[in-house]
Amino acid sequence: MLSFKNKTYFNYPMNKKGQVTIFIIVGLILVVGVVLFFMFRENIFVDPVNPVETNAITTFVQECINSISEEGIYFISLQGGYYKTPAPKVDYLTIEIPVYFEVDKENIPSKETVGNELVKYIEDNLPVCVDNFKSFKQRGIEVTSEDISGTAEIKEEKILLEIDYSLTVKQGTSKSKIKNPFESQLNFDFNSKYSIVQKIVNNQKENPGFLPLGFITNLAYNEGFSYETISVDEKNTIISLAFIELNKPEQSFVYSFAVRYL
Amino acid sequence: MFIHLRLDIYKMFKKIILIIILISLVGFISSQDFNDPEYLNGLNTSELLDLFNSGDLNFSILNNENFMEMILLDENLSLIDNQQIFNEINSRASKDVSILNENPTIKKKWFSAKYGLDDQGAQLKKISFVPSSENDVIVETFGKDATIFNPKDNIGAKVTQEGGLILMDGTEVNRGNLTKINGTLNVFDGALDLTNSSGQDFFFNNSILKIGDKEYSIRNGQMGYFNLNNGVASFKGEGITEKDLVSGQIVSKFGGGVKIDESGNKLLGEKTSYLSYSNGEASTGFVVRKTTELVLTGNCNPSQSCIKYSDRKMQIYPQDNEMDIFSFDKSVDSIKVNQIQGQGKVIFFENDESPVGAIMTKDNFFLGGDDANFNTDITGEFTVNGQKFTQTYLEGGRLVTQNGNVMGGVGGLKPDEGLIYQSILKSRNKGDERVYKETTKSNLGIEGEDIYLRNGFLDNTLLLEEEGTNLPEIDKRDENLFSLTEIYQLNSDVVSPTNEIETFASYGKTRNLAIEDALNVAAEKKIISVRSKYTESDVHAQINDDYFRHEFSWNIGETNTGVFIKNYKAKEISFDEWAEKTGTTMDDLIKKELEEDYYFYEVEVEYGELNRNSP
Repeated sequence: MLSFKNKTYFNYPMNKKGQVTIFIIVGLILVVGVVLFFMFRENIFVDPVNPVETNAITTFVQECINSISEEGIYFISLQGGYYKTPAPKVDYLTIEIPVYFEVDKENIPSKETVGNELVKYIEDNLPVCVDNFKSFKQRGIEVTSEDISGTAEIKEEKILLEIDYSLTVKQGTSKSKIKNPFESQLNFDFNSKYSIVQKIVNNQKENPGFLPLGFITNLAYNEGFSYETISVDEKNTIISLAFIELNKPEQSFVYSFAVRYL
Repeated sequence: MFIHLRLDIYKMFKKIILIIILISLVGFISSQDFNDPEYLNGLNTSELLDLFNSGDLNFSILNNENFMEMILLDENLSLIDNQQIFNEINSRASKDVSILNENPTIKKKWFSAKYGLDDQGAQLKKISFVPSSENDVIVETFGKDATIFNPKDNIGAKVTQEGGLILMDGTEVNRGNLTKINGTLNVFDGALDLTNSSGQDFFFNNSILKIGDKEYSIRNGQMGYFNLNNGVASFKGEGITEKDLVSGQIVSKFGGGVKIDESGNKLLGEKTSYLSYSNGEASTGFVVRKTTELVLTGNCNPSQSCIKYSDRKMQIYPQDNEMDIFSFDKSVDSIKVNQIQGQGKVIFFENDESPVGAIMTKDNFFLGGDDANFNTDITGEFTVNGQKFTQTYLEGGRLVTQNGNVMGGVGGLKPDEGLIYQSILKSRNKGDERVYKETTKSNLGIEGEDIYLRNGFLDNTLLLEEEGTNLPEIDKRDENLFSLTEIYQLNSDVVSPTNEIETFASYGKTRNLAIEDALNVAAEKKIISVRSKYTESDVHAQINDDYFRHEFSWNIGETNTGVFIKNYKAKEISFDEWAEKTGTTMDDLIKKELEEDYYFYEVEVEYGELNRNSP
């Protein structure tokens, strides 16, 4: 019987310490193997759910992500790029609008921050959209989910989303995992709006105590949006830009932010 | 023979001695009398005149009465032409001015002889010598027009009975202390009437200048300069006040340099501030860095820095000037600012108590302050990267257009002057309990004109899973509805009727809501029919347990196709009339409920267009 000891291609003598290491490795492999076996034995021995159903769930979740992410970008833009707006901010009706410019301090969220806020929005609102997969439950399909996480990357004319949403589907004795993560592309040009807002804030610096309405108006004329400003109080003014998206002409995309004057 | 000769010599000697004695005696007696005041004052005026003419009179020892009588002896008073006599008069008058007041003919001659002044019967209060001068005197008159002046500085003037002066150019000095420094007249504490002046210039301090029915004054401690030339009055100085003598009210206050022509137009010099008053209150102010024409009648020369202000409208040709314009009493309805050049700037402030301002540069318009109180319509011409355009800020920016297109506006929930109606509806539905509340800023009239509608809507829904677990699915949400309608009234001159009239039937829980509903439908219908861009933003969100739906409405169409209603008339109608007009049918139970809970109206609407060239 060939033993490790006698294997000629180990062309050097083994000491006792080396022997212990080998045993540990072998032991670990055995333990992990046993654990993995018990963890996945259902999958190994359980029939997978009908792919038609899992595909339906995937499509359902994908549509929810598309819809919620679109809703999300509309909502967080209304709150100046934030889902949960940090200070300094202005309360207006039920929304919280961040202060982008205050005396001589600029406070515009980065595109990365906006992306993260969009993910937070999706994390909170995707479960509402999937609504505990009730429509599938009625058909005897049970879907269990884990926490949602992900990334959103704002690109030219689009937003790329990668949503990590682990789903397990059970139907009778069948069980399957849904392919994760969900990838989505939101064909929405947030970038150009963000750039317009940056231009306005830059122009605001020219005369920090006054609202640059002329610049905003000319920008609106050239870039094809309308705007409204609201003086919330003596110091705070909200600027809301309303854009019409060609694929959604019935609903304006509103980007709001506030400026604070002395 | 010898004895005779000796006797002749002796007699001759005696005669010579006698003659010598007589001559000496006469000389002794004469010289003694001329220096004797008693003797001289005992002589009659004729003897005195003889003595004066012989050069032997020492008139300084004459008393005033005799001295003046001596002068009066010659009906031409020619003695006054004599410098010695003239100086003596000055000397005596400086000690006792009554010698002139009691001798009016001498006084008149005294004024005219050396100074060429025409005394018309003034009473003199005092005559004093100009410091460091032996002969020049300063005259102080008595009377309501009492004046202090150096006659030498006012050659040709008339000295009036009231004590004033009428200078050669026609200027009436009715009070004041007049001096000449470096050849220029200085008036202190004076009152001058320049209405009939052919031209004059002087410095003035604590004085009042009257020109026609206007009066100009400068406060104490401030030195001003005045010039009148060809009917144009020029002022330089700070703290000058213009008053209308007919109404007795202040017309303006200014500082810097101001030229006022006969038509009332002003030329404001460099670094000048000019504040006009209305009914005694500050009205409109101008502060200009460079020379600017302020035209109240006629037209501006567009190639010069100029402000035309009439009929509550202002047209500004700023060039590269920097000018601040203030409307303290909101008396400026509209401003049109033509293209600003270079580093020029026009700053407009409205409202004294809660100021709001607009800054215009060649390429931008800035708004600052309490914009809810801003009501002026502003139109500006701008150029950015070679692109020329016109922006209009109606009612201080409530509606902003560029090249006739509505681009946005300054809005919000804050009420303002243009806002004539605002309703806020709150509705809460919690399970079976329904709460409804209408908050109305003011009632909506059954008639209205030149109106513009804004809408907002908010739906805030709270999940009630914890407290409403036994509720049916649909009632697991506590819904808060919030809707806002604002109706603004525009200036009538910016909305033209289109003669397009339509009638709408509507209903509402209150009379306001029924009319408001019809107006909303009318506005919306018009927008759709003219393919104007009426947009909504409808945002849904779930934040923790709160569900939000936030809706905004905008009209961003062409301004001449916007949501403007020229006129409306509302009439309350019955449910049956409403049902007939709207073609509605329903069962009796619902009908009964509706009849009890709602108001029904018919509203006739005439549409309007926003004038492109307004204001």
